[in-house]
Amino acid sequence: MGAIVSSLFGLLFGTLASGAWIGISLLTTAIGLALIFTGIPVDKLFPQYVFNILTTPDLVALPLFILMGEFLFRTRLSQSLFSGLAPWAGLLPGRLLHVNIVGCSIFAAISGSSAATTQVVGRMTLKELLKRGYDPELAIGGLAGAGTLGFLIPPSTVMIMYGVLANESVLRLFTAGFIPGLLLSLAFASYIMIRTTLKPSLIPESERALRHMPLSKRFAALKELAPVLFLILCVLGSMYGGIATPSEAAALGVLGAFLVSWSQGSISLRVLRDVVLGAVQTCSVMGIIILGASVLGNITSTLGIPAAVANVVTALDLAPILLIIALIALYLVLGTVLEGFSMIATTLPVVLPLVEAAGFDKVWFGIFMVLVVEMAQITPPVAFNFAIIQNITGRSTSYIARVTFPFLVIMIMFVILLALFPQIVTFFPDLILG
Amino acid sequence: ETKLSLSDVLPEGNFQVENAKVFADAVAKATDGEVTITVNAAGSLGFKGPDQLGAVRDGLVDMADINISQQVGLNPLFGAEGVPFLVSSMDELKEYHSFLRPEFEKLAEQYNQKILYMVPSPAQYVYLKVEVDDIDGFKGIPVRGADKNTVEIVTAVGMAGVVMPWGELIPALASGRVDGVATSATSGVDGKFWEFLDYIYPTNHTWGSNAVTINLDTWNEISEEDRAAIEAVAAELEPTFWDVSRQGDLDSIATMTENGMTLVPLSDDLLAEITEKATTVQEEFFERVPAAKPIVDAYLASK
Amino acid sequence: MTENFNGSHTTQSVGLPAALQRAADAVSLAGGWIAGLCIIGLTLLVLIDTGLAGLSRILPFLPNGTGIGWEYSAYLMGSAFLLGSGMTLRAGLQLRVELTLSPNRKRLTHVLETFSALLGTVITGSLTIWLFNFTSRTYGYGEVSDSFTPLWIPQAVLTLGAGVLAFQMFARLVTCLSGGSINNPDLGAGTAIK
Ligand code: NA
Ligand code: NA
Repeated sequence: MGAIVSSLFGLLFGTLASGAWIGISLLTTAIGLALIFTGIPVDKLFPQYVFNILTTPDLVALPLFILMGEFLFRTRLSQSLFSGLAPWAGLLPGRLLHVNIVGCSIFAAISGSSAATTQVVGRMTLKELLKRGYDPELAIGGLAGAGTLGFLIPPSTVMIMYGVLANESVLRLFTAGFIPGLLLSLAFASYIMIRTTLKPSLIPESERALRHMPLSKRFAALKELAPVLFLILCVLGSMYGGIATPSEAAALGVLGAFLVSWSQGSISLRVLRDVVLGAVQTCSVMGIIILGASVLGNITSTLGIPAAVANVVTALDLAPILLIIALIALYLVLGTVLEGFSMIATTLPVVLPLVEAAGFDKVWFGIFMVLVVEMAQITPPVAFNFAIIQNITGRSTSYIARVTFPFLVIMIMFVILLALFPQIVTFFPDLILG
Repeated sequence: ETKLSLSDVLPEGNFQVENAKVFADAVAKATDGEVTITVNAAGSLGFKGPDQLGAVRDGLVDMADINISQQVGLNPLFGAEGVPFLVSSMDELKEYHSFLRPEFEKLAEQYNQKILYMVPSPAQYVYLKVEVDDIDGFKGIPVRGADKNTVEIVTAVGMAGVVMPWGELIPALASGRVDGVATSATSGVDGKFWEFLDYIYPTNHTWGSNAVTINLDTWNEISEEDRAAIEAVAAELEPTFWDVSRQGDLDSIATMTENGMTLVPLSDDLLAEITEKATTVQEEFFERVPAAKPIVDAYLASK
Repeated sequence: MTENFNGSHTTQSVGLPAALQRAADAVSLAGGWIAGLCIIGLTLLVLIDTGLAGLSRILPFLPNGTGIGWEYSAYLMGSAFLLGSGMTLRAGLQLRVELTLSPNRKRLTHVLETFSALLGTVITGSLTIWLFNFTSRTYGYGEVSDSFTPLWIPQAVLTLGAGVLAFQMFARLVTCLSGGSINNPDLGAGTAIK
């Protein structure tokens, strides 16, 4: 078993470090292990795997949510979010800084991805906040932190991928994401309120007036939120209202996004071309990684690696909470260089049996994985959310990393909280789905 | 020493997987540890139900627990157990198997494998929200079936059959997208049907078995002595495995009735009406699978 | 669509390698468009199934589904994943750990780029050949799915997709060796979100 495990890590890290694409690296490792350690005819095995994995019906929601994200990303649809939320955020200590947090939470409920959430909300809010004189550290850090909610608040492409790889119901994972998502967003908002109360100079003088806006004006602004609420209704409403399964809800979301963008006049041939080709590109990025990860998962099962690793860890008899802390540390390190999807893909076959052996359920661990993937979005050098914010603000990675750090700490503490009280994750799906 | 891998798409805890593990232990004992079998449940080796037969044929895995009727894509005769409303109990099924099994064994050999043992799934039921007295009561109720054959049968009886993956079923039931299910009692317990449905109809509309097979090349490499020992173990355990299936059915029905569902025996009138419809469905079935006709005729002649 | 080829005119390589790269780009872009049609197709298919399920409750004469929606949308998805991958690779969007690929270490980067293109060519080339043989075997056995669809058809499309990626990998290897520019960010939508 030692030879097998060291070949696994040697092949995987060797090819990754030499710059091979992640999907190719995973495939190379799988084919290599099969050739060295099994007598299975690889020329017949791998095409069967490719066909099975790439035509898994449970994955169909993924291209649909990606297509919907492309519509939101490339049309005007999102801009109304700011004008609808600003008058209300002005009531809280921290004022418009909360538009980042609330905007990300709301947008997360229609988009499946953190990068799309950060991109769309960031483009609306950041320039405006900086122009008005808000503290850039809280504005940028808040966006980078809250942008990660895109994966935690359903729908979520990470949950779809985890559901497929871990053989867990996607609807159950979606349902489990709500409460942690709202709590985390509340934690971010509280941090902003505490900081701005302790140090009022973080908020520009001129923003005091926001407290004294007439209520009628505030309610009038709400209608700006209509298109966004319509989309939330399309996706979450159809899913929980029983009209549609998760895949069908995603398709209704695509239809809704198309109709709204069209009625706003932001659909042109050029936009459609970019939406479709953009969706194709994002799909093949994820498709190839999912392929490589699943194939490697199958081969490691064939070789009995997950069972062997689980036995070793079970023999160590770590307290469950220590195991979770060790895993947080592991994923923080991996997350600096690995992108989230590849991180799940490369580790799940080994880690899942181990976590289940420690008594955590698969839905709980799905939420844990979503949170560590979100952390990976904001830990440099490989940090998607930073790349997006850099693109919007022109600030350096190290600056963005420094101002985001408090939000990263909040997330780490939040994961430990979830490990101590797993019911925070599990009670809601148990309540809704039995 | 021979180490064999067995692929099973059913989840850990399913009675077929448990049976396979019992078989594996017995084989290890009977061959003095010369032949060990690892049971890989939940499709963890990467094969799906319909490609298990092909996987054993091509030597991608040594052994598999194969859902026979799912192999109709390779040869329609694999569907011969699914003749609608032909068999009404497990004892009748045993008799039907005495005609069918030799055919399956020949067929398996064509696909480079050997059947070690066969175990049927428990009896099939239709679960609904409403109480039905005559055949018109079934009319138009959206009912989920796992495969095309089941859907066609329930549709022929008058319900609106829908194919839907198991994972989508519970949300669909919760929301009323479907108002019924056609499946076994063990699956009914897995899906906690009492949360959504009230009446259980013992329709026995179709039957299906799993076969545990081994690749012939692998088989021939095993010593003659060990092969004889494995065959003896399979023959000895098979009746026990059938009892497990039968007991699973009884236990599951008990669980469901304890949870408030009602088992509604089909009235003679209803049975007659269904049998009448069944003739058409059977004719259609034999049009698709003509090779099944002589087997069924031989079985019927023996009764 | 010729606007997308701007990038390849600026490459330094000439002659056969440049022609090969242009051919690979044309094939990859065509694959990308077919992939786009697959995604549109699967969206429509899922929408039709959703619509029929709802409508048939009001209008009972309608079927309550297409019966093939689950199966075919999955085939379309797999086709889109592979057919678009050549275009995505050429646009420089396929994910990798870029730590070692730094513009400050030109020699090392060139060696690693060549190595990964070679590895990619071997892996995707083998997969294409294996998929081709797999498809021919399925065709020979006459295997069909639950809906009586001959399985060789979706398998052939996947083979084609793997072939597109393998071709782009091979062109990348040749471009790498001849010193041309390996990425063309203009191919496709320009940017992708993840
Ligand atoms: Na989301
Ligand atoms: Na990172």
